[in-house]
Amino acid sequence: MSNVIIDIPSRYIDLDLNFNVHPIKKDINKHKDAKAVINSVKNLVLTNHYERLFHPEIGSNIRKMLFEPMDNITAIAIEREIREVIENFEPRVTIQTLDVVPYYDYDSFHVTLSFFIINRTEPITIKFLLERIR
Amino acid sequence: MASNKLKITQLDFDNIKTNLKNYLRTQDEFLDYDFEGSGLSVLLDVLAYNTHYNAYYLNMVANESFLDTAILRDSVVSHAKTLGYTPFSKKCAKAFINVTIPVDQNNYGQVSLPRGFSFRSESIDNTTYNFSLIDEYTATQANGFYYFENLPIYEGNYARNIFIYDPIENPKSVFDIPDKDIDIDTLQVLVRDGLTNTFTEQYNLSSSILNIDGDSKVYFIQETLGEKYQIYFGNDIVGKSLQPNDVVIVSYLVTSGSAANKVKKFVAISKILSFNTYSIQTVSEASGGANKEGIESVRLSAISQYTTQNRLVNKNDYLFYVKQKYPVIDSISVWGGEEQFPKVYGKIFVCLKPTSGYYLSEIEKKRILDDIIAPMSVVSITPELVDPEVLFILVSTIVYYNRMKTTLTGNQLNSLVTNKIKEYNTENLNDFDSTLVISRLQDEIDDSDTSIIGNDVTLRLQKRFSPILNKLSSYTIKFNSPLKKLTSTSKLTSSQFTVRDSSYIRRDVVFEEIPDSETGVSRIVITDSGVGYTTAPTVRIEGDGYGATATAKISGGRIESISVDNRGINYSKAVVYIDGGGGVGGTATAIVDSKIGELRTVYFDKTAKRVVVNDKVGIINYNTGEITINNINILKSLESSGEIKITVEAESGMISSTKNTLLYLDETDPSSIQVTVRSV
Repeated sequence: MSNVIIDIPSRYIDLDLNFNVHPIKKDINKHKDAKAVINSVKNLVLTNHYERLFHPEIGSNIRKMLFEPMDNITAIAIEREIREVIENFEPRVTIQTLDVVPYYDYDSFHVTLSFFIINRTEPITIKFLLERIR
Repeated sequence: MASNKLKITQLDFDNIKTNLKNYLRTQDEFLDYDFEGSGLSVLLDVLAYNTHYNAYYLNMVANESFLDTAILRDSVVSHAKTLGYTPFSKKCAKAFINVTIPVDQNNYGQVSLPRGFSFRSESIDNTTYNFSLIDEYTATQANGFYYFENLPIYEGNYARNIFIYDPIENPKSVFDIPDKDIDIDTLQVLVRDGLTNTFTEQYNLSSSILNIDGDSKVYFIQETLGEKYQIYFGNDIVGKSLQPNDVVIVSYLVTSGSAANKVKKFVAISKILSFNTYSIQTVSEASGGANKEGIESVRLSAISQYTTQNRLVNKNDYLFYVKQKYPVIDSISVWGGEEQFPKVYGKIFVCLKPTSGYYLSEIEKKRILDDIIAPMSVVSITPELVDPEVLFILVSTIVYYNRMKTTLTGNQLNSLVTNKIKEYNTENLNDFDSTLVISRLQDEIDDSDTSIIGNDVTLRLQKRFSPILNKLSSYTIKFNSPLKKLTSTSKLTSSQFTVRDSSYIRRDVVFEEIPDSETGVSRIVITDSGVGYTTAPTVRIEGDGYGATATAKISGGRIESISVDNRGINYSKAVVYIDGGGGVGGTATAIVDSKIGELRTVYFDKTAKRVVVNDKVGIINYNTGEITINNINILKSLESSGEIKITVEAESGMISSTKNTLLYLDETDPSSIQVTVRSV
C-alpha cells in the first residue's frame, strides 16, 4: 500500500511580525496553525491598553503589574489579566490551566499556560517568563 | 462579506479596517485577519490608521478652503481678506480729561505733551490701566495756568518697533508687528529715509485703493497667523514703495480692550514736564474699549461688507457698517426721514444704544458722524444721530402657587420667577424694535414652576430726565404709550426733587396727579345745527363740575362746530345750552371723558399732611402718554444720578418700541422687578 499524503490545508495562517525572510522562497515567513495561535496569544498578552489605535480595550495591563510588589497577590492579578485578554480577544483558545508564580530570585514571574485550540485534542503548553527590563 | 473590490468611500478607522478585512477574505494566503492578536491584524491597524489619517487631513484641508466651513481663525481671516475685509482689532477704551497746570516763575514758552505720554487709572478689579496720548497736544495759557482741554487718552501701553527695509530679504516689504493685542486705529507709521537722516514722513492707512496713486504715502494692514498683524507698503503703482535702508518706525498701543471701560480717575505716571503740581479732571469716563472680532463675527461681517461694498445706501448698510466700525453698541436702529412724523425727506436717522449707559456723548456722536458715517454715505442724504428714548419698564407681579405641589420655599420660588422675568427681558427687550406683551410675560411666569397656579402682572412705565438746574424751564416727557388714570390703586409717582415754594423756602417735592382733574368735557357733539343764525350763539355748559367753556362757529346760518376752550374740572355729567345768535333749534351734547389730567407738586410736612407747592405744574395726556411740565425751577434732584424719575402704570398690555424708543428693564434697579408669592 502506498502512502497517501493528505494535504490538509492550514486553518490559521498569519504573517511573522518579525518579518523574517524564508531562506528559499525569499518571501516573508508565515506562521501556521498552532504557531499562529501561540503568536497571537503572545501578542495579546504583551499589548498594553491604548497601544492599539482606536481600540483601547484590546490588551492587558501586565507591564504595569510587573512594577507592583513581587508577591502572590500581584501574581494572581497578572493571571487574571492574562485570562481576561485571552478570553476576550482570542476565540480560538480555551484555557486549561494558567499558573503564574513569582520568581523572587530573578524579579520575574513564571507563567505556564496550557490551552486547547479549537478542534485539536492535545493541549498546548507554553511557558514564559515575564520580566521587567528597566 | 467577501469582495475583491476594496471599498474606499468610508473614511473612519473601523470602516476602513472592515473593508480591508472583507477584501482579504477573497484570498487564502493569510487567514488570521479576524483575530485581534494576530500579526496581520496589527498590519491592518497600521494601514487603516494611515488611510484614516489622510482622509481626516484632506477633509480638514477641504473644510478650511471655504469661508463657510473653516474652523481655524487664520483660515477665516484669510478668506475674509479675499472679500476685502480686515477684522477689527481690539479697541482701546477712550476717556477725555482736562489737565490744568499752574505756571511757575520759569518761562517755558509753549508747553506740549508728546504722543505716548501716559496716565494711570484708578484700579478696577484690582488692576490699574495705563492711558496714553496718541497725538501731541499743546497747552493754551491763560490766567496763570496751562490748560489741556478735552485731552483724549487711550487705554494701552505705548509700544514702538523699528524695522529697516532690506529688499533682498523682504522683497514684498511686509513687516510683522510682534504684539497681538494692538489697536490698529492707534497705529502710527513713520518712514525715515536712510539710517542717518532725521527727517521722517508719516504714512497713513489706506482704506481704499480708489484714491491712491504711486506717490501716495500709505501702508496696508492685514491680520496674519497667530492673530497678529502685518503692514505692507505699495509698489509705486498703488502706494509709494520703500527704498532700501528706509527705516520704518511703527508705534501703537497694546490694549486690554473692554476691561478698562468705565474707568473714571486718572493720575499722570511721570511729572508733566517739570511741573510737580497739576490737576486732572475727568470730562468723560473711559468707554469704547472692545475685544478683537471673533471668528463667527468675521465670517458674517466679511459677507456683509462685500454686500455693502463700503457704501451706506440702504438701512441694512447702516446697521452693519456702523456696528462694525463702532462695535461698542448693544443695539442700533435706523430709519429714513420719510418714516418720521412730520416727514423729513433727505435725512436718515441713526440711533445707537452704547454698551455702557444709554447715551453717547456729543463728542462721540460727532466722531461717529464725521469719521464713520459721513465718508461712506450717499451725497444729498444727511445722516443724523439721535439719542435713544429709553422707556423703563417696571414689572410687579403677584404669583399664586400650590404649596402641596412643590418642595420649593417661597423665597426660592420668588427668585425663580425673578430669573424668568430677567430671561424674558434679555430675550425680548433692551433692543430697538422690541415689544413687551403682558400675556406672554404671564405665560413665562406660569411656566417657571409647575406649582404656579396663576399670576397678576402690573406693568409700570418710567421715564427719567435730567432737569436743567436753577433755571425756569419746561419739559415734555413722552411715554409714547397710553397711561392709566389715577385710581385708588394706581397713581403717578415721581422721585423727589427740590424747588422753592411761594415763600421762597426750599422744599423736597414730588409730582402727583390732582384727583378727579381728568374728568372734564373733552368735546361737544352737535346733534342739531339749527337754522337762521346770523352771529355765533353763546354756548353754556352746566353740570356737576365747574369751569367748562366752549365757542360755536357758524356757517350759512347753521352751527358748524363747537370747540371746547376750557374742559373744566370734576364733571361727571354736563348739559350744553345754546343761546342767542339770532337762530333757533341748535342742540348739542357734551362728552365727559377727557383723558387729560393735571399735575401738582406736593410735599408732606412733619405731621404727614400733604402740602401743595404748585397746583398747576403740568398736564398729563393719558391717551398719548405725554406729560408737559411748564415753567418749573428745579434746584436739585434727590436721586444720586441727578435725574428725576416719573412712573405711571401702563394702560395697555402691549408696549412696543419703534424708531429710537428703547424698552429697558433696568435689572440694577431693585424696584424694576417686584415679585410677591402667595400660597393658596
